[in-house]
Amino acid sequence: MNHWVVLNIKPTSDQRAIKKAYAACLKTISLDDTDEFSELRNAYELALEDTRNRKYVSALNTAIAPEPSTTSLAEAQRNADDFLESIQNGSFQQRISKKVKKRLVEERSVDTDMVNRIVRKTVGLHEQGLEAEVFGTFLKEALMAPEFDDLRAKALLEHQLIKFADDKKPKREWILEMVSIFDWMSLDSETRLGRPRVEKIRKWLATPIILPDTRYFRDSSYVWMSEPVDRKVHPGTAVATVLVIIISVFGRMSSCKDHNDSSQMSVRPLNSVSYVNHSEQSWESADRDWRLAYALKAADLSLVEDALREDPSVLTSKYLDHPPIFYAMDLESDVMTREFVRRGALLEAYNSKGFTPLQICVLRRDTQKTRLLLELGADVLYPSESGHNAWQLAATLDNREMLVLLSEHVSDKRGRL
Amino acid sequence: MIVGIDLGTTHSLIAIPNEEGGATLVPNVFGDFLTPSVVSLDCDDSVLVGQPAHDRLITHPDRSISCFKRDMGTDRKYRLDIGRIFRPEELSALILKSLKADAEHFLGQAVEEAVISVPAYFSDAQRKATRVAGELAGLRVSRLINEPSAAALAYGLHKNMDEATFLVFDLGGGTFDVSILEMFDGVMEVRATAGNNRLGGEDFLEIILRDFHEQLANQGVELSNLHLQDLSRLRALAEFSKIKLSNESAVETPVVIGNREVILAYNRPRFEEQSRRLMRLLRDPLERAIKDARLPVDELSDVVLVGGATRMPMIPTFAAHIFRRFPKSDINPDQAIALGTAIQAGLKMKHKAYRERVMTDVAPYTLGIQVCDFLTPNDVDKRVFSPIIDRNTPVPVSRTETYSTMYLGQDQVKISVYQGESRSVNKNLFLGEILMPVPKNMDEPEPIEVRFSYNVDGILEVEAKSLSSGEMRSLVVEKSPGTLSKEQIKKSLRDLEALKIHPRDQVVNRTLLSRGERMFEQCIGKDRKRVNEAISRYRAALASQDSGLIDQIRKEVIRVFDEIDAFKPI
Repeated sequence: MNHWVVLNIKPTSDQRAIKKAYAACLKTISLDDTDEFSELRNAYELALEDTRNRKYVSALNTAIAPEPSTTSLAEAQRNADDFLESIQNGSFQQRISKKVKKRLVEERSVDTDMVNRIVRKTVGLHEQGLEAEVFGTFLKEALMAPEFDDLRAKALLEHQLIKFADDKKPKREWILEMVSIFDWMSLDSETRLGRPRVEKIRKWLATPIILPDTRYFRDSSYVWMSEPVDRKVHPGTAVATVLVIIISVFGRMSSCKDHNDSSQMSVRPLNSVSYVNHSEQSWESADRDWRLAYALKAADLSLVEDALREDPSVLTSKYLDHPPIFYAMDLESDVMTREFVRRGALLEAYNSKGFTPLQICVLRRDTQKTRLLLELGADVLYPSESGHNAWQLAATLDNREMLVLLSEHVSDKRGRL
Repeated sequence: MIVGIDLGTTHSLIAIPNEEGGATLVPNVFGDFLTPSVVSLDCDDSVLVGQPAHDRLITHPDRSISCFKRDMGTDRKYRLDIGRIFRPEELSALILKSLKADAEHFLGQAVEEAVISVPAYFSDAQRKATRVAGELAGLRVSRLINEPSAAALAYGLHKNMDEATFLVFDLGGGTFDVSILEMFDGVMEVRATAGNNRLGGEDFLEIILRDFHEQLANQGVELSNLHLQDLSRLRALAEFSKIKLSNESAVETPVVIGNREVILAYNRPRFEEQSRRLMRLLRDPLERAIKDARLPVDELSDVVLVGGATRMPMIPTFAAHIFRRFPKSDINPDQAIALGTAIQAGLKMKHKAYRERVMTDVAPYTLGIQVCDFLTPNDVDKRVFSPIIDRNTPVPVSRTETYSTMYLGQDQVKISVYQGESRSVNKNLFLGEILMPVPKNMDEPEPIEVRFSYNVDGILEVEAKSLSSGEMRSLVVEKSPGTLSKEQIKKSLRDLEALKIHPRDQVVNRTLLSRGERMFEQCIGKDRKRVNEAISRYRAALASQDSGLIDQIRKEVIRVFDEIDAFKPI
């Protein structure tokens, strides 16, 4: 219940009125009833906290307001269009998919690195809602390529399956597919994964599978994708088919995002300085910092992957105003946020306003991203530079849903006995 | 009727709530409000409590006991003469019984329920022991109230303030407590409490006593040869000097110790010099309370001194120095707590004069359990304290934390409950433990939910629940020292029933005779002769059983004693 409701007053910043209301309520309850007292006490403290935060709220509003943009909205729109166009007509030599496509279609060869990348990419697609069956077929075909590095791909698969198994809300169809791949690769899932996980997976698999919602994309490329893939086709052809899908999907996605969300461009870091200045610079001649910055600011998943692949240790960029994790978080897919955290990016980093990624999500009322960050281990009680933690921010914004979510992750497990 | 009792280290008081929403102190059989917390066994094995026992501390130190409150909640046993062994709870019960009798006499009705005050910094075991003492005295303890909170209740009422924030500095006979309270709209809210339950007036007394021992040694008196009675007389003299130093700058007393007449001198600067260590100990809780209350010192509207030991001039000076203002002591420091307990009793009875007031208190200590910290998979710190309820959380409070087993396949966990502030449980106080079976899980750590509920009496209940099996265990304190089991309580009750207690109407006579005996020992020369003569006359009058004559002679004897007695009890 809202603390103001418990206290039986209208929201106010008058401490005196809050105390008066608390006193009145206190006289009606019994101090022997712990629950009743706790509820009232919490409401009282929250209300007092609200008044203390009142000053802070105005500062907060300026903090979450869009940054003064160096380019106009129209210019940003034009930049986005240019970018989209350059992707579509393939002027970006470094587009992975194109390279891959070339090799696959023209040279008919697959290398280790590419398989690994494919696996990683499918993980990204999983996040975006690729159909499990398509994914499975694709993987199997890719794995059948002659140059396929068996051990590394297996390790990657295992890693992914473990990730699914450990997921709080696993997608059953994905697990099913993964398990089938394991069987197909004649891997003993029990010894590779450990019995508990396999048990868990079996339990999930025992319950009926709900078919996924297949409307992932907003244009006709969807029809194209949902056509059943013939498993009997030649491996090379199948991979090529799937990769074409990827290219198509990526192109479409960028287009969807950039067109539909252009109204929100100003809150994205897309339009800030370096993107404009360096748009003519070629990918090869740019340093790795620029590549990362460009990729992140362009919010392009595959470019980011490219930048990261070239230098796995890269976690900062001098062209970015905030630590990269903030940009990674802005990508539609969760995969980069996970990837950055996996590479050791700090979830407790401050942006230029002194807030952590989690606090920014709370301020933006973005429940989905908040959930992601919490899952990755973001600390709810970590203070911002001004000393306010995510919890307090949510309380200040009176965002109950967020508070409930945060409370699930406060002091989850304190220690072992 | 619920009464309020201040069960002090040196003195105890009883008070009752009155119709006006205040409280009235109940006088004991001598017309005093203060009853010394002393128990003595008379020659005929009957029990004496209060003033007569206090006098007998000097004449019969082997059969008299004081300051047992300091051992509440421990396993310490006191031997009174041969054969009779008492626990601190039982001795406290005797005091409570005597106070209860006073109140029953005063009210003309039976008293069955009481609010008893305890030092805020009393531990769980000490609080439980106090409850048991009440039970042994035939009182249902409806509430334990923290002493500074009680004092604050009395003070708040006395000042009739609407809105204020004040600090209560309570230095009693054996304990030191600090509480910061906020008052608004009839709510008295304790913001923070800190203290030291082994620091009080008695420790200051020890300082004087040690000095006296040194003086005696310098004058050639062999301390090891001294009789027990001499030692208790020395103690009485030290107490006397301490009280006298509150008004005078120096005292000099001639005494006969070990058949030699010596002069013991003491003065205020020396006292202050020697007390410096104790004064430092006072500072710590003050700072902590202020910090926990998150209040700047300047925002305190008052600093209130409570407890007899705050009469020592160095205490107000010290408080003035720290708080940069002169502390208030316009409420009798001896009586404030008792009055507060009675007001709490009134609140408890929901008497209409009290209906508009509520008091909320806090948990004085941090409470938690012992956990293991994996520094690396192979290096485990097994003695880490994991707090569940933080100190100064408003009570009643109930908090839950989830823990997990340490190893796969572990089938049992031990939940050891501690109180204290240190990260290492070694430095915290052990309260008890629960052994809890958990389902054997070879796959992943088993989650266990631990719930701590701390009620308004300051009593902690611990509940552990295995989340996968749903099995629950709550804390039955088995290993905590100094807590009586149900059987022990029953046995204790029977033992106390069997004790002969001086009939109330005879207590006055017995007390006067004890006082005479004490004075005879303390005096020499002409005074001793006069005391002896008075005792003989009084005994003769008692033998005649003529109540008129007894009353007349008693008055005369009291007059003579008062003239001679430099040790007029407080």
